[in-house]
Amino acid sequence: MKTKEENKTLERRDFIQSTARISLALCIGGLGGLVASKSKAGDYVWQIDPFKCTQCGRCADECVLTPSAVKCIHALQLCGYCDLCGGYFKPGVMDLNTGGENQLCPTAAIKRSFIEEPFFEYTIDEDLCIGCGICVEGCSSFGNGSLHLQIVHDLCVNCNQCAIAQMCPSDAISRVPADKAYKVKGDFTNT
Amino acid sequence: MMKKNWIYVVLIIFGTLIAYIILGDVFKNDMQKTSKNPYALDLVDVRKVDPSMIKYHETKRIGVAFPNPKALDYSNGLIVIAYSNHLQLIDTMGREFFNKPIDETLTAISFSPDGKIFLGCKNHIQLYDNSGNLLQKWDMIDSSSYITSIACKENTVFVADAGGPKIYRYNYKGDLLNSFDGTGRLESDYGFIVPSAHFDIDIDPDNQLWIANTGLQQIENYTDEGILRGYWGEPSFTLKGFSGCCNPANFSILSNGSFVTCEKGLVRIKVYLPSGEVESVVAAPDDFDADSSPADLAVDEDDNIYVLDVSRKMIRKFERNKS
Repeated sequence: MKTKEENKTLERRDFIQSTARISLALCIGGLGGLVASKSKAGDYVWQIDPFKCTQCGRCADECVLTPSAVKCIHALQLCGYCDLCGGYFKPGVMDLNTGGENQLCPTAAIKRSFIEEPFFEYTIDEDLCIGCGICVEGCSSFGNGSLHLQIVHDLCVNCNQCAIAQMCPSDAISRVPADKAYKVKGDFTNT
Repeated sequence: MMKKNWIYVVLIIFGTLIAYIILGDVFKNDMQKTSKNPYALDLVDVRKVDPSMIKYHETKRIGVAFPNPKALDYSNGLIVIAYSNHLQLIDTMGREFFNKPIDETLTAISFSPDGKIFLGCKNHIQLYDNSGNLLQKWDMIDSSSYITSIACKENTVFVADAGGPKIYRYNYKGDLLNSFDGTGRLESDYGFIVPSAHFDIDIDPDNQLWIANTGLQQIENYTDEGILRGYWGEPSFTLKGFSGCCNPANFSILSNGSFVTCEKGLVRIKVYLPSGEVESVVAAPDDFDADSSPADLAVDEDDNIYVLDVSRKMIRKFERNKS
């Protein structure tokens, strides 16, 4: 039978111990939360600077995803809507029609639609695009450079070290704030 | 003592292993960074030109003096050059008569028939004498204007505005006579299509106005009032046409009415007959740097062609081969 005095001592000890445990848990929890919030994927994401990109083709092959999270984006406000599109047609093509043998894209991911004389619109089928950048090179070589590559963030898994960034020969890929996750030409200029 | 040696051996093995991993990673990355692009765009065939078509050769190079050369024109042995913020007058040997900093963004230049210099300053025109003194400053066309070319004939100055896109006709005092946008043609009403700031104009030996409708890859002939009289040109990667959009980026007219054209993207300079058939090549794509910008052109009284090579920062003179 414990005396009243002994019970009181035990209660005080329990109280101190449990307070210490709770404090420690709070500290660890708070620290963990702080670390988690700092390293949260949403804060910074990987993105391509289209003005640095040299269309080396590595975006298609080096991404941890297959197909790559890098896709071609079309800045329509920069496009000339031309019949002879350097991003759509193979160089030297004789007939300007949608025949597979005329298309530059290896997966036929660019759709060409007639709008009205003399304009044609070119749109990207994101599911087919592998991010190889050959159309970007064609558009830059012959047109206004309205086609360009971007990392699409509903696909990108935001690795700590982007495998493409490691291989990019022009250092065009860097971390950007998540609230400015895209560097779309026309909205952003190389200043 | 024995124990100490073991520690050294272990440390050396670890050090070697770490160095091997780091160096291996670095070399592996470097190798992959420089590996061949399996998706590279092959432009070798379209850059090739049949040597029998090349009927000009380069005879002179004049280095330009200031950064960002934009445009040039030729008249009576003189070449005037507009840089982004500088005006310079030289002769064909490269001797300078004057240079003048201009506190404007220069975008186009042209000699008038009496030797004065019209300067396109993005959205307005300035007129200088051949000593570099400012004579006139005309009213701004529009805040969104971007003057890409000026062409002069007796009593009339045509100004091409890619921002419109429109052609403005002025008298020599700067009074606006009329403007037109190329609409009103029979088959359609689309007018001038200018996808980027390449919208060149020139006057032929019969004093007729020619305009590069670059979105259509055509060169079009208009009356002073803006009525379309005729056109030629087609989109094509081959020599006969103009490649990509915004072409021909620049052109000039020879004394027999033939056209000298320069394209952007696949930079090449060709001569077309007045009827629009390609006649010869002045400079093939391989005569320019791979990422070269389209070159502004001027012709002299002997039909020699002066090319402003922006990438190499020089004026290149081409003469026709003696047949």
